[in-house]
Amino acid sequence: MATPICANEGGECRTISVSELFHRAGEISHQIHALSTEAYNEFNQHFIQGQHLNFSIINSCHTSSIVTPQNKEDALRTPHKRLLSLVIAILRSWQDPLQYVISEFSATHGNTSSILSKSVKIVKQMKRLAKGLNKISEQVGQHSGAIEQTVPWEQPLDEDGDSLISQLYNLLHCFRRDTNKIDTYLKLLKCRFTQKLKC
Amino acid sequence: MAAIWVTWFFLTVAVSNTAYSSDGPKITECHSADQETFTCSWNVGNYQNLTEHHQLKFFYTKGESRDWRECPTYVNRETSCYFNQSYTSEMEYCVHLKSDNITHEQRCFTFNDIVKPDAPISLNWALLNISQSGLFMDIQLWWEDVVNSEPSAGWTPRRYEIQYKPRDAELWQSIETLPHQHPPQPLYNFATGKEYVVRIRSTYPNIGNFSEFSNILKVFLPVSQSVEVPLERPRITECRSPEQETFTCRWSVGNYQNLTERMRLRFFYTKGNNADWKECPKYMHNGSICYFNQTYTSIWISYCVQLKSEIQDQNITFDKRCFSIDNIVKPDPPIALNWTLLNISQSGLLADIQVLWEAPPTADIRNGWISLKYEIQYKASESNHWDSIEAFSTSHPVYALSTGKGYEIRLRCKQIANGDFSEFSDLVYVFIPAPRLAEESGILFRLILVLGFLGTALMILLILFAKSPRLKLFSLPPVPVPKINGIDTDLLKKGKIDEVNSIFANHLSYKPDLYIDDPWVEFIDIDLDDPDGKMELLDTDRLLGHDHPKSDNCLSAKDDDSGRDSCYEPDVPEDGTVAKQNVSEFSSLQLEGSERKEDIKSDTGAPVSISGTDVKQSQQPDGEACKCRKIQLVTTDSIFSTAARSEPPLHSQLSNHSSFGKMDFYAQVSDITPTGGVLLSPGQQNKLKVSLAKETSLDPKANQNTKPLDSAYTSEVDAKQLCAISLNNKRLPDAAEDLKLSNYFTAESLESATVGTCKQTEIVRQPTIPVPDYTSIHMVDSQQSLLLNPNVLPNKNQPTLAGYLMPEQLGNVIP
Repeated sequence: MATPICANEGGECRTISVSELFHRAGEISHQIHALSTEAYNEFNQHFIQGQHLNFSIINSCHTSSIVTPQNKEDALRTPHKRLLSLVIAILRSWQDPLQYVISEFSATHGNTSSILSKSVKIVKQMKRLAKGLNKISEQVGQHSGAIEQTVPWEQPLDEDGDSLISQLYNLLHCFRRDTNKIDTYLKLLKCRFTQKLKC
Repeated sequence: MAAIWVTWFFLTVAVSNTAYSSDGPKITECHSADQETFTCSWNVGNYQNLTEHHQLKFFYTKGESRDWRECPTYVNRETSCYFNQSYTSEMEYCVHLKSDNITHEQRCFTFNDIVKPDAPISLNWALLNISQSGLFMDIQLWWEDVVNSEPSAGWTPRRYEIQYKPRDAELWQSIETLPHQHPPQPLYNFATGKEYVVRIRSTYPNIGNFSEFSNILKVFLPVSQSVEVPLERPRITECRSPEQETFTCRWSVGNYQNLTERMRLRFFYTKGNNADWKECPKYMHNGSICYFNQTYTSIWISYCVQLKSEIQDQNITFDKRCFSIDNIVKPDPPIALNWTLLNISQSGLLADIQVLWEAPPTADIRNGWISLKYEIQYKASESNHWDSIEAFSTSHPVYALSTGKGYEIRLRCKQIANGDFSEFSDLVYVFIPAPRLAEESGILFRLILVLGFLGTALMILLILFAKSPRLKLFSLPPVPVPKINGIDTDLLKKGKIDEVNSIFANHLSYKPDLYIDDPWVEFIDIDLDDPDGKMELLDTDRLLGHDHPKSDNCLSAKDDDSGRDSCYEPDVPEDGTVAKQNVSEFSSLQLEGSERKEDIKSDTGAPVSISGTDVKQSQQPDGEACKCRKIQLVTTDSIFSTAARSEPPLHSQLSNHSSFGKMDFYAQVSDITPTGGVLLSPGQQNKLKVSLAKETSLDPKANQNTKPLDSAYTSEVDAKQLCAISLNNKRLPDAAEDLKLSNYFTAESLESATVGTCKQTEIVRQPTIPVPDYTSIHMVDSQQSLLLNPNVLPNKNQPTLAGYLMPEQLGNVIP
């Protein structure tokens, strides 16, 4: 199930198999998850400083409206097209919030340049992943219409210091969770496309 | 009259007012506990008849609307009105209390102003730690927030204010928690044995008011008890999921006594945004573990769990924790460890192995639900330090294990992205027997090393202690030292210089050092055959008309004369005749001398030895074999004195001298001109005497040719010189013409102990003192001029020390 993807326009075409695409996508998503974990931990260290904040987060993530399988059985039962479209939708929903995070960190917090640089890297990787997933969608036969709707996200207004921190904490916490979701789904999909019978 | 009316009117008004205000229904409070709903309460007051006849009705308007609507929900026996979420969309509200048409009270407010959370409940405390002395402790404060019956979406974070004080103190100490902070809150530095009271209130951050204070909690720990047994609070120890499909939580009971007696701990959880606390679906292990199976487990959702108990009808939360399942994954350890030998090194000392294992059976690697990474740890059996290697698949090599040694290997794994490492797997023992070849070769190798070392040591010892010098020479050749062929170093040591010199003379390149640089004695080489050559002989000869230069033993000996004083023959001048002689000679020599100043000129001020006629020779007691030239400097005094007396005697002296024949080598040098010319003694004395007889002022700086008194150790000679120079320059124009007398040495004045001024010395001179033919040169000063010591006679009986101008005396000499 490998349609040729031409590396050079006029040159020879080289086919990249879907399993290879998924392998690459899995690597990128793993990277994104690692970076987001680091950014979250750093944020905790710098701004929360070990307070018992994680108890009180239950401000819901804005992507919770996207209904995703919550356990292994559900995920295994979900058809791959749907899984793929869910992943793409979650990815797209995070573009705006991440830009907000980047702008907030670059504007206000001087010593969190590490978080800022990680966020910038994350955005880059997410773009790459989105491209890769689009290619996979084409190969898989996914129509763009079937893709889940991206969840809009509104930039909060008038944030003072404390609620800004809680807002950023919430965003980083939710993003870390969602990257884990994406990573897991892609691994499931990769298994399905590489070892069809065993998965 | 009017006053009465007015008074009565006011009274009525007042009464009616008071009656109105005290008796009428009043709105007591409007508040919102949760920012979503609000309640207004009122009381009826004392209007008894109202409640019977008229009903109190509560109306409100919200926002811009002017419609008065009645309360949607009367609660609490119609003394409160409850507005639920549907009514609370606006910010501005007005409410009033009516009965019939009488508005008893009206109030308007902004919604945010009435926000006031409920006070926290269920305060309790736990011990954190105690100081070593047992006198101070830190505690944790726990509390609960009231949960409304209609939980809204999510829990709004609140900020708390905790106040505490010793019971008997006046002022409360206050701590504000940060937003989003959850119990427990630590409180530090409480004194044991003292009773404290604590209370807390909450507020929504930046909105509304503080709640009322909670009930007061008493904190007290007896001092003795604090030291004996630390109280342990029941707490949740661990929640983990081994495969991201189920999870379990464990807790410890602690040692609160009242708990174990009466109560059991209960475990509750909430899932997601649902605020309801559900009890544990399955208690296990005698009530200290709660297990959630797949149906209760959802990934990527927040769970909160609590440990609660009921004591005295009060729910106490002992511990609380929130987490997400994907963060608490801790897999089971890997299984089925095994290893195979890969290869052994050539020496047989090292080997590589491949370690094989299987993933834990519970983790679903196959589907890709979990991805694991592994850590291999290995160590030699006797060592205590584990080395570790990371692996991403189920087999991995381990390199460079020593053969013949026992190793232990263990494994653990963890989810790649997050979570904790599993427990370690069982140990697997590795032993690779060392191949025999390796052992043997090792032994042989060691044997060879030892033998070789011993052999080398033996050889060295042999050589060192062997008697045979040839062997020594052969094995340890001597280091060559510098040596000149044909010269025996022993000769040098014994000091036979002549022999050495003869030896050296055989070498063409060798020339004996004539000590030209020696300032003590300076020779002018005499070329006997050269009529234009050195001055000494020629001048004398010219003076005296002698043809033949006198050969002198010293001449021949001059070559090998090292310049030592062997040629020095100081003569004792017995009378002034010598001086006269010198003067006469001097005068005749003067012209030539002036011509030859340049010839004679040596270094500035350096004395030049001139051998004139050998005048002194004749007068010497002549114990000397060598009749060398001598440097003879005659004092000015002597010159003058002698000159003053008579000329003819000098001449006669001279002629007398000349009659000696071979004595003609010597001529007394009476002076040295500043240009280096040598003035022989005869002939100038008269003039000098005349000129110098005059009193002159001292101008030490007159003559630039004088050696500057640059050292403390200036001889009187120098001083005299200065004086002489100055005198000469100033008052002796005549003398200067004929004779460039710039340097006069007054050796005689040196001798005079009394060192007066320059003038004095000039005059002190005693003309009758015989001018010595010989003057011993006592030293040479820095300008390489000779410092004379006229009374230092060559006789050994005489003391040789005189004429020094000590630095102390210098001051007297030079004004």
